[in-house]
Amino acid sequence: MTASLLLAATLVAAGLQPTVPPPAETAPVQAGAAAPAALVLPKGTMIRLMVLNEVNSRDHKAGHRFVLRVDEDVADNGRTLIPTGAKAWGEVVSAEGTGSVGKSGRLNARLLWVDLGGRRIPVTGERSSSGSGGTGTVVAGVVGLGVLGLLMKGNNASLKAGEILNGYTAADEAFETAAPQ
Amino acid sequence: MSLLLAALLAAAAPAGIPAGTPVPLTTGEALDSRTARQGQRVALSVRSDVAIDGMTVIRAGTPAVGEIEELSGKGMFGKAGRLTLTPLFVTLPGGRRLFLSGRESQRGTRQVAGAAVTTVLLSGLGMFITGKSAVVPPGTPIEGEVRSDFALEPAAP
Repeated sequence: MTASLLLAATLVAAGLQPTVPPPAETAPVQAGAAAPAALVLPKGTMIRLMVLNEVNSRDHKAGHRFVLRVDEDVADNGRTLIPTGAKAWGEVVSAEGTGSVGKSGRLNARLLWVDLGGRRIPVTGERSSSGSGGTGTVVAGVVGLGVLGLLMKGNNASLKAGEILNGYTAADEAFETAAPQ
Repeated sequence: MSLLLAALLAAAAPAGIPAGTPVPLTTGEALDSRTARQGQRVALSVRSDVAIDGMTVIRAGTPAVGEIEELSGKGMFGKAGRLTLTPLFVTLPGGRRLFLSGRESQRGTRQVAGAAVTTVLLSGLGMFITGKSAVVPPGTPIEGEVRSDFALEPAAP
């Protein structure tokens, strides 16, 4: 009961008021409820993220930070550790606009972290960088860890609102959670 | 005695699945570049048994999930559509997810049945389709590999 209330509170805090840190009394309440059992979310766990506002190579420069939203609960043994709606951050690494006609815009961005009530859970993203030639020949290569690469011919490169990116946790993350009721 | 038993158990069941282990997959549903959406999840299944040291750790037929990572063109204005399908994870019995990435060494082109203009490029990064109306039939092979070392839970006695 207490656990589900806590979970609900976390969901509300993460989903509706992501910028508001959780109440300080959360931890003592949690500790008092039951013997806390440490749950470890292993490194490399996938987190499905959605871009909330378009990021493109025309309007945004390197260093621009953008918000994403967790689009699927991250659960372990039926326990939700990162709820849908939690906020995440990404950053533009480099951006080249269209310039002359026919030149490709290019946008490189990386994922930074998921914000879980003030706690930062580092995530890395990985995406193929692909450009299409005149006949649709595809050249592809993995861009290094943490870099999402996009190449769009004759257009500004963009990450559109609603686009799905997958991040992966960068390290093992321990969660102190009350034992299941 | 217990040491011997432990050694026997260790020999019988691998402790984990190392990163990079190839996982052959196949698509379970038809994909159409005109109706697909970016971020859409796609049902896959494991094409053949995956074995470590002769012991099967993932059985053929185990469900897996892929995602349409990239989608462009959609055949509008006569432009070729392109669709990238990337394997995400295998759902192991018990519900644990074994995360996958695309397999880079599997690169090549092949024709998709029934559409002469359509080519599918299978690569480590997924599948690229060009053509006005690219349709990937069910049963199309796609290659994945284990993304990071995965610890197997000890088998029940």
